[in-house]
Amino acid sequence: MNGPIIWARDLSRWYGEVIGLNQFNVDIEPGITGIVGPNGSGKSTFFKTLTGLIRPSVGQIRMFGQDPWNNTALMRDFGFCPDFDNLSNEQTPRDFLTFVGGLHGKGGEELAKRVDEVLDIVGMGDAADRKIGGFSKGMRQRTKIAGAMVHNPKLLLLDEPLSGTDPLGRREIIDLVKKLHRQHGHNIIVSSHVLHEVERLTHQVVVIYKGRAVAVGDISDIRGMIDKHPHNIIVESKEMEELAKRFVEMPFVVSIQFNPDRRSAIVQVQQPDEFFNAFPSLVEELGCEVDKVYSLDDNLESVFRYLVGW
Amino acid sequence: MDMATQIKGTLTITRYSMCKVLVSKRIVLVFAIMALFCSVAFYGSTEVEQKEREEFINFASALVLFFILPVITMIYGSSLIRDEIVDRSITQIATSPLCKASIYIGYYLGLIITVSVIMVLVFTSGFLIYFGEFGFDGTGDIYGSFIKLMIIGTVVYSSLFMMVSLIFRTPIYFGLFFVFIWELFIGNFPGRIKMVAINHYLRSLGSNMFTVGELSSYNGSTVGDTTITLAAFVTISMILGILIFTYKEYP
Amino acid sequence: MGINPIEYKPWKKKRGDHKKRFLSISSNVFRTNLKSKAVLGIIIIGLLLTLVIPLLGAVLTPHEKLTKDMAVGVEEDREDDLETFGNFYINGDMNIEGSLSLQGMLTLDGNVFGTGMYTSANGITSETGLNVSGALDINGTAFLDGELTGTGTIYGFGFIEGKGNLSGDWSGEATVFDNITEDIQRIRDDREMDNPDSSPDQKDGQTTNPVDDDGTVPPGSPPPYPPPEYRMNLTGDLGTEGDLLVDGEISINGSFYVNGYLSLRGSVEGTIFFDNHNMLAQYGELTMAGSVMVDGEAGLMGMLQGEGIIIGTGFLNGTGNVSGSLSQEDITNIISMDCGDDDDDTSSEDSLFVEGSLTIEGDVLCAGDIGIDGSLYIDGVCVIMGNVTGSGSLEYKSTEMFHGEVYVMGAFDTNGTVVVDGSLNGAGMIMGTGNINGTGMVHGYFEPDEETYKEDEEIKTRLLEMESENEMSSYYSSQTSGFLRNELVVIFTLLLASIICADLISKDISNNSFVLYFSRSITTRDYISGKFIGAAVTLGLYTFIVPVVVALAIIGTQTGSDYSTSFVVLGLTVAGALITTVYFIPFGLMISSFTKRPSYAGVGIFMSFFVLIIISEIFRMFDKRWMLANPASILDFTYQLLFDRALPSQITGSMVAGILLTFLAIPLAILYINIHRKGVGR
Repeated sequence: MNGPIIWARDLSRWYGEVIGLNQFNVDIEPGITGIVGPNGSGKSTFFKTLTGLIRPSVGQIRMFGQDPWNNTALMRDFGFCPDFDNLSNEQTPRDFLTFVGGLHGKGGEELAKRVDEVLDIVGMGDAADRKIGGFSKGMRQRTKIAGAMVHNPKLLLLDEPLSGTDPLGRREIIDLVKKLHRQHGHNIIVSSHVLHEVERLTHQVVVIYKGRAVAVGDISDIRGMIDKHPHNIIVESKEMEELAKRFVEMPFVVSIQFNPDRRSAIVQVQQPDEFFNAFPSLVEELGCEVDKVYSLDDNLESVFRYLVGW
Repeated sequence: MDMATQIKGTLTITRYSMCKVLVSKRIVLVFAIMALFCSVAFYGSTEVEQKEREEFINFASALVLFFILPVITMIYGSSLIRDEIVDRSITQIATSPLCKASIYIGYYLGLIITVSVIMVLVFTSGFLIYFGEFGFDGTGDIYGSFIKLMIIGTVVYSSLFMMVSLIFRTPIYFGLFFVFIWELFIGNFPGRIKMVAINHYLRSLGSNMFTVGELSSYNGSTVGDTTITLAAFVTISMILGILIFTYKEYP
Repeated sequence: MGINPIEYKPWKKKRGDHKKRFLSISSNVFRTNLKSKAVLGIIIIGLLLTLVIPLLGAVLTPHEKLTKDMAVGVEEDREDDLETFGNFYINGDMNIEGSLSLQGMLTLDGNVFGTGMYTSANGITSETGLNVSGALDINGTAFLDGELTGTGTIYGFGFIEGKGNLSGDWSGEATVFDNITEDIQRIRDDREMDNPDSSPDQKDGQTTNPVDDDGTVPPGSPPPYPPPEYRMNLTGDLGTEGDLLVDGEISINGSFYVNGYLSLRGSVEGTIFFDNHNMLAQYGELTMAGSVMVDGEAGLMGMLQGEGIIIGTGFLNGTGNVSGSLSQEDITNIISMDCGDDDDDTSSEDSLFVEGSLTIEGDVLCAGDIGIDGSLYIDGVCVIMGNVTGSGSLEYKSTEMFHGEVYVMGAFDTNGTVVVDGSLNGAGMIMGTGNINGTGMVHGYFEPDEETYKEDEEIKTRLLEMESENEMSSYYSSQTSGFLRNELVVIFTLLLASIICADLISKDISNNSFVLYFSRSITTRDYISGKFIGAAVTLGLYTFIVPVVVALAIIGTQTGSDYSTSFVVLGLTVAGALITTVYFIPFGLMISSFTKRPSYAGVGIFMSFFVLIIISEIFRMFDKRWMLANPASILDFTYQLLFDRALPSQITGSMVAGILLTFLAIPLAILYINIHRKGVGR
């Protein structure tokens, strides 16, 4: 599919005096996209608007070129896994998926086959006939994800799929999401406030804060655009002082901060690429040993921190 | 919209809502009500020395038709969709490719089927207890008439309470007001004012079905007028309910 | 030994602290409820519906003082009831002022009289019935489903209805009257004055209408009518669905309902309602050789035939035919009723005189005159050989032209309205002040009498007045409940109590607030007292205000100077209002303590009361003491006791007090146990 699968223009939604989304503008391309933001930033509001559960107060939103509000035909094209638990403890995953499949007009053997297939994909094949009431959080999340994909939609919307899961569960879900995209071709939008785990899923992110999209795109590209915040690079060496003297001469080095042991320093640079290009020849020239050199900022947390001012 | 998909989806929701109604803690209430009616029937059967059709019709209509039926319908009808909105389990259904009218009709069908079954069970148990001692000769018409009235009442009350559950956050209080004040109080006013109560029309139908008992002498509307009024009421309630459900948001 | 934190309550001795604690809980409850839209809404609606109207009524109605009747309504007459499930044998008289309910057989060697109700629920077997050897004088209602046999006399003002048979040799003595109109009128008056033992007396101690030794009436004399004592003399109503065989006369001033075969050798006098559905069978006939005098309603569905005379002021309607050989000779045997200036024309004594309304849906053949002071409606062929006179209305209608004719050979003098939809033929004279209208034709040589013609407005006005009087009397039928005893107030109180109490405890359970309360120096008693008082104060905004404000308004606008009585009633009203306020709360709190969800608690409270009310209403059909299961009735009985009114029989004051205390104490005890377990721990 060409063009964004989802776009929003000046999308705003408020609940009385509380603003959920505030002139939210975004274009989401096919693939896996992460929606990141702190609690209350508007992620769930965005999903609800996207799935037609609520209507925008102002602005427009489109999924596959269509307005999702009251658009029952569009609902075949996406599967939604909400952040809250809406599973019945008395049902089994098979019952749940049969029910959801029935809502999509499927039935009979075809549905039964699809249910088995989906349960295998999410890794719940063995627990298909166990009551959901006895499941762990991770199992429940996987069941919900299965519910979102039983009708084989083009797009999966996963709202906080990792919340409440233990590290093992999170890993399983992350692997599952990647598999769903890679092997089964689903486009996926995942929301979370667990930044490093979104990073593990995708590098395409939409950063949302106080109802606004503060940045959209690749994490690195975003980082690169934040010029007013120099990159922090850690350098560890026995000859740190020597190196520091040469660093100061470089025009793109903003500051050098020694750690107390004086064997490492945080070097702030405006142009990290230039720095890394010059660094090897500098080390060779000085003949010093460098134990470590790495960037502190080439991650989502630092992007987030710079963007929202944490 | 693919009609086959819509019908399958509607039937799925019908089955789902039937399970919800039957497999819930509220079913204890149904058993309590059944026990109540059975004990009243039992007490009544011990107080008469021969089969008194008239006595049975009088107390069964007062207890089952004009109290138990609206109360049960109120409890289930008010909570069927509202509980799902509160606990947000309606998200799954609201994001399915079914038109909202199909979803609403699915809920409605599930509700009326289940409540009708419950009412038939409650009534039959008391009926068997009362007439069991005296024999069932000549009681077929009583049984049949009550079943018909209960089903009609279920259809009408369900349409109202389901619609109301979409409007109010706590529809149960509206239900209490409607059943205990509107129906029981205003429905017993003399003159034309009682025509605003649903039980007036049930009584009118009853007056044509029964030959003995208080219902038989009820001075009500004609069968034609009653049918038209109730049909119009159900239709309007359903249309309003569908419209509200369609344009309602689920934050 | 360390301190037990559960048992350690150093504040126990400090009474002042308790007061502050539970007052703080109660004020919190009150403030929270005042912020609730549901509570405020119901209070406001309730006040509008149940305060404004009685307040206006009380203030605008002139009154001397505040009385108990205003508060709790007029005292109802309660009569003692007698109920028996076995047989009853009386070797004397039975006097019933209340109701007599009899499941078994009553054998009575004496008389039955009184103003009560006799009910027999037994079927039609020979072993169950009322066998009376004396007189059966009924001034109340007698329901007879068994057999009434006997040899006595039935009289009184009462009403007998049922499905049983009336058989026997009921004898009596008749009195012959001179002026039948006056005497009958007097009899009616006597009986209306509650003189059940009065039987038709002889006038001046003599038989004024002599009969010959052979029992025939000499020519020129009015017939022995009515006979002095009747085979069946009934002043009330008699209805029977079996056959009725009366070997004598029937005199009835009530209504006489026969759904079987009536064979009568004597006269039927009185008010007859004859409803026989067997129109085409020989059983559907009233055959009489005497006269039928109708003063009330006589419904005829079968055929009325005979050689007698129909006279009276009654109402004869039905779908049968009235026919007979009404010959001129009979006219002399007719007693003239009240047909205007009959002194002037002795020959115009009516064959058919109607002073009330008479509807005949069959054919009418009248060889004499028809006098109408009421209305005569004929839907068949009507041939009148005599005159039609009177001030009533003649309405004549037929759907077939051939049958649509009225022939009047005499004068047509009417001061009422004559509606003719067929044709009016005749050779007499039309006169009077009435209207003739309709869609028919008038043929013949009717000459108007211009001198007697008047405006008909007077008639119209009179009719209108009558109608409006009737309407008004039925509209202002009295309502005897007072401002304290008001069904609508009870319902609103119940609704409000359910909403207020629903979340008082249940919300604390769901929010785990007991930890908050009982980790402080608050006892279970403080907690319950605080919740109770808060709920009572909120509920009192409605239950207390309505009666007290109305009472104060009545006192403030009274015209008399007897304030002491008024203030006594005010005090009783305040007490009643307080009882109403606190009555529903313990039960409501108890239900609220059983569940976490306020909506379940609200529904549970409301429905529990209604289930009790409905059970009570149903079971009291069988045993009146089931009224004690109805919480609204208990409240009502409490008011009765408070205002020194009588309770129904079988219900005593101690029963009411006991149930009231039970209804208050047991829920509080259960509530205490529940809170203690949940709050303090097991």
